Amino acid sequence: MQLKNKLTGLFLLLVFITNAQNTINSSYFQVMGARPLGPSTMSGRITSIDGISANGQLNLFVGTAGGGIWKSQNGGLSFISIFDKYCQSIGALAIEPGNAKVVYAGAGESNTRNSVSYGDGMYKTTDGGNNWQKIGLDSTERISKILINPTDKKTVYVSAPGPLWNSSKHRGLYKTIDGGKTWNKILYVNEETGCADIAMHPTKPETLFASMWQFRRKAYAFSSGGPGSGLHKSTDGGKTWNKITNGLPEGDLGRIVITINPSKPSEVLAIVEAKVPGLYISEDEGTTWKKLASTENLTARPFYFSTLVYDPKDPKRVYRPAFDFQYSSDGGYSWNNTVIGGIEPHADMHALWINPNNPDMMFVGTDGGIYMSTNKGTAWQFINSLPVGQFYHVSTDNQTPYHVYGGLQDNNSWMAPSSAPGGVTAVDWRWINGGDGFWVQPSLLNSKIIFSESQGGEITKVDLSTGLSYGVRPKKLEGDEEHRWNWNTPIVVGASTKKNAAGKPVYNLYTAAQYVFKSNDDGKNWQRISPDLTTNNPNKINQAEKNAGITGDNTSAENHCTIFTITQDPKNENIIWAGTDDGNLQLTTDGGKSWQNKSAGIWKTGVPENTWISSIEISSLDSKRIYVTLDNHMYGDMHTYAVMSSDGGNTWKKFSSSEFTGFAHVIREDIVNEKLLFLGTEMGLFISLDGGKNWMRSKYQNMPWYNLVRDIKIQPQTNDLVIASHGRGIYIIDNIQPLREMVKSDLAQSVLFYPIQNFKYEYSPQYPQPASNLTGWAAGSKVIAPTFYYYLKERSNSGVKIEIYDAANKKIKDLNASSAKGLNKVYWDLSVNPPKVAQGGYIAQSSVLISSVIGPKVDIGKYKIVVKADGKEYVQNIKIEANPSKGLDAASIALLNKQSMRLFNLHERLFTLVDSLDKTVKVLAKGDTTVPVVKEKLHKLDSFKREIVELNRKSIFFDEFKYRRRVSDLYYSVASGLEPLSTSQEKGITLLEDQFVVFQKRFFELLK
Amino acid sequence: MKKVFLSIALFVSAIFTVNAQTADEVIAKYITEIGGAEKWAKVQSIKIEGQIEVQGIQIPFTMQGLQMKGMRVDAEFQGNKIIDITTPTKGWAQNPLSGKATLSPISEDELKQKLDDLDIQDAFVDYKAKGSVIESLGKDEEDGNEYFKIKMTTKNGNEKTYFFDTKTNLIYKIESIVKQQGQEMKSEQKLLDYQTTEYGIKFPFKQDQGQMMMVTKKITINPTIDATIFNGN
Repeated sequence: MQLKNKLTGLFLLLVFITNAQNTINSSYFQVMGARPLGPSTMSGRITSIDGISANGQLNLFVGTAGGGIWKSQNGGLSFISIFDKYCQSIGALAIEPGNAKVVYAGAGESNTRNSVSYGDGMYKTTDGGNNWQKIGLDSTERISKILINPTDKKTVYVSAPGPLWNSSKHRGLYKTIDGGKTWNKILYVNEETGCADIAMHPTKPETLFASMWQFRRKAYAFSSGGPGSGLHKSTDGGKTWNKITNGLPEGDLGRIVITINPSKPSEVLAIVEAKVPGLYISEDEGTTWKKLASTENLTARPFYFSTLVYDPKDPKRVYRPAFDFQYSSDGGYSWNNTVIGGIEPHADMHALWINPNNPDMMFVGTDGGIYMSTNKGTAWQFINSLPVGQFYHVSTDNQTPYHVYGGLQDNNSWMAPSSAPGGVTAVDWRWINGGDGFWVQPSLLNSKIIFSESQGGEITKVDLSTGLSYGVRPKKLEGDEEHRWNWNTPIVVGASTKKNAAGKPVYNLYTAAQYVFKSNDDGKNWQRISPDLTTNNPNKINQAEKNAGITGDNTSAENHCTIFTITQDPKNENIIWAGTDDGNLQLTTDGGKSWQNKSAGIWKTGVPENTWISSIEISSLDSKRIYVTLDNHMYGDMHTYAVMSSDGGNTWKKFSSSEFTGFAHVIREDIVNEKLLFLGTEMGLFISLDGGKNWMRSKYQNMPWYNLVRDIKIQPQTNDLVIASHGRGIYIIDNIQPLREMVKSDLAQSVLFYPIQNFKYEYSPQYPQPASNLTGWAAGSKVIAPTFYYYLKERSNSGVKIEIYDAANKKIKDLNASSAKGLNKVYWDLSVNPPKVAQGGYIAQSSVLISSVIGPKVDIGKYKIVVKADGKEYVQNIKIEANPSKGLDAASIALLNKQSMRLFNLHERLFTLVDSLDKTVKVLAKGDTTVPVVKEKLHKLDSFKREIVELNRKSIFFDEFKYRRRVSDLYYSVASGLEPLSTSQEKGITLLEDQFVVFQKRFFELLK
Repeated sequence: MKKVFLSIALFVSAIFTVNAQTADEVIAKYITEIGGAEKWAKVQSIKIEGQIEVQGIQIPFTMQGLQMKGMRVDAEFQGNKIIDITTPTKGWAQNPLSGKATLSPISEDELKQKLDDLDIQDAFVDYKAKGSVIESLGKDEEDGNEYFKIKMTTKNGNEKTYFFDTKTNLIYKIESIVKQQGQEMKSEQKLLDYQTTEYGIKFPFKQDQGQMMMVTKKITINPTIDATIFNGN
């Protein structure tokens, strides 16, 4: 019996393995690549910077709060992302001294604000960041610093503050002596206390300081400091430690940042969080300490600002990047923050790297990207090439092109077009409100009216027609309790069938504190449409004010028992769902007259009670189908919770998948096919093609595999999937129609050629474009062209070809197509095959060369597209239509086609003529060329050819004008243009045709 | 019954021991898969004919190599001849389409990066004797499949990371580090359509370089090659 059980188990395992191999993954539709829109002009939180000069180039490695690791090999002029397969929250980076190839990265930011993400341990690269390997400390969640012993480079110290939301043994100071193969915890206090900072003596690397920090965040409170905190010193590489107290403040301490003077190592500086926080100096290697004068700008918010750096060469120069950039020229006794020239760097600083070869040059990492100074931090320049913005939400409108709107962590509210000539660039992004940004919601009826907010529900209406803005947050009225606004208060719109007193159509604008509010007049007047929908639990309310830690920090980040999400049924405005941060899922079906809490059914599926409702999705195809994501990470539970109900919320089913990682932020059902689902979590975008039975991580869509996906929208006119990431800005996957086709089709078939959407004649606009030296980091352009999608069950080694036939069934175009496993995508630029062009001469950079690679554009009409794969043919049809609104009416397209085909034919006739001439010469040259007649004939043929073809080029410019060049110039302008030649210009073609007849006659004469 | 159990157990344990495979085991399997070291060691010259496919245009090419002595590539487009010659001491290039109208010498840095091409035997055949050093970079996923990654640094100082398909034991992708003016750039090529040649050794007949596909039509092993074709002067 036992053996049988075992066998069954093994059999199941085998079945599982086999199934796993057959299950499709996101590489099957890697052609559905996302366009990253940025912005880079407003960047995101930077957590660590390290640099090294190698091969004469300054290499920089930059770790970010939610956008992975970026590398520059030119001193910060340009960056590439090098950590896209792994956790995107980075706490610390360290380059091996003297070796630009070896870099250690600690995942998980340690600036423990409310919205901070978490990590999964240590990584190492040995090839400068091209390839990374995981090397342990997986459960530490947060790493603040990595130090490498410069004399024994396999010895590395890692300080881990550890988990923020729960007690844990996985924190403290860790050490490896074998380059990360094995780790030992060498300093540990208790489950509430981690290691915040470390410092290593520059010449005696066995001498170390470590600051231990007791801290804990809850959904509604933050506590920094306690008996576990303290400063420790070791002189034997961490074998033994002494707690240092002499001269430091008495009583419980909080977070301590510590730094050793590299030019005078007996001098040590520390900023100590205490009842009275302060800056302390030791002049005897940390044995005794004395307090120096300090201002709030030096000591404020210790949980968020933990950087203190000495100049590598000047013993008197010290830097404290914190709320602003503080510098001292007298060893920390006095401080200055004056910025002269350049621009003021963004507030809230977390990282500083000073070039040891040139200490005037430095890079500071802030909440809004990186700034460079070349004069010791008194003037700054912004590095406009890191698109690591942290969006909370994204909205779209219905303009052409549609716009995207969203708010960035600490970085205002923004809008940008979804596409722009040359691609969306930094200058296309527009700032539309200040503060931390969250929801930005355009009016449903007027794209000039936009609602945005700053933290704690400070809602602003922006009127783009006047450029003015107004605060519109609902006011407390009689009968209301004090309003409780979430840090990230919802602003939501819903369609309405009603009209206002003036008979004009209205829409519903919603926001919520503990009550839901509705407005039908752009936020001028609000109606409260609910009672307090939260648990109203006094233990979770106003806790930030009753701060249990040493220093307080009340920014509305801990406001709790609030409504976090609202959704109105798109087809029935009386159905509204609201979810609260304390786990109530409330439904009204009568426009707010009565509400019922539907969350009990969710707890039955195994989701812990009172879990934060992070999003609610009502199917646009069936009002009874509801999806909810829940987020319990503030209780130390990082599981992915997403549930679905098919009966209006009475019973629920929990989605599960071995692929899931990260707490869940958002779920969307496709607006056309209910089987197609998208789920965004703190660690990835997940896609289901079967209504949630199976999920796959999006790995091959040109986004980080563990992208922090906060919001997802489907723009209805374009069917674009718009993704808001909290660390890499906005992404757009253009037109998800092929995914719908995949959902409907039988993927066991070897080849599938999906129906093609008809195409209205159009090309990507070229202008206006911003100056290329202003754009900074730029997103790829949206491709506008007929697109063919086909599916291959296996990669085709024999290759796939596509042939295009016109209405007369004549083949007009061959396309070399991709042969990837899964979905393939091929664009057709609406051209036919290029003409044969007469050969001869050096034709680089010329219209002659271009003529041989571009074909005339086709006329409107029906075309047959044939995919040839593995010996079989698969056919679809496409209709190419006129597009008068873009100036491309049927008559002008037909004329353009006719004119370019005339020149096409001229090219081919010229090719034949020159080809016969070359062949004749070849034959003659084989004979006796001393015979006078032959000699003369060869000479005449050569002179004749030189009259038609450019054979005497003299410079890098194509400086000859012969007949071939004239045909090519005109052909190029017509074939690449969108407007036909005018009647008078068209005579140019006639002239060339007439000239050709003369050349042909002369050639025949010569042949006689 | 017991037999069945055993075979299943063996299969299962095979799955788990995959992890423990060393880089040298991965390489050994690969060498066996492409025909074995013995056959490869006998390859002293090679001629490869095919075409470069780029945006629907086909450019025919011929590649001729003498083991460790010379490598020459000839291609022609619209009557323009593209030539690339590498020898142990010097290299030349001509590409009228990119402005190099005549055959002219390449820089020392460029040559250094091309010297590895002189080894027409597979880079992993006898790699230790050739002075190359390898490092295992563990397993990774690429294009939805699982690969072993092995980094090779040749005696010329060039670095490449090879992706060995755990199912076929063949190399699927090569990431090369191209060095230019002190900066390093990653370029990658995918090796597709492995075919066994008459000589009994296996070659990828397609190299996908992103924008460009190199398609091999014919491979001749140990043809007679006149060494003067490697003189670019």
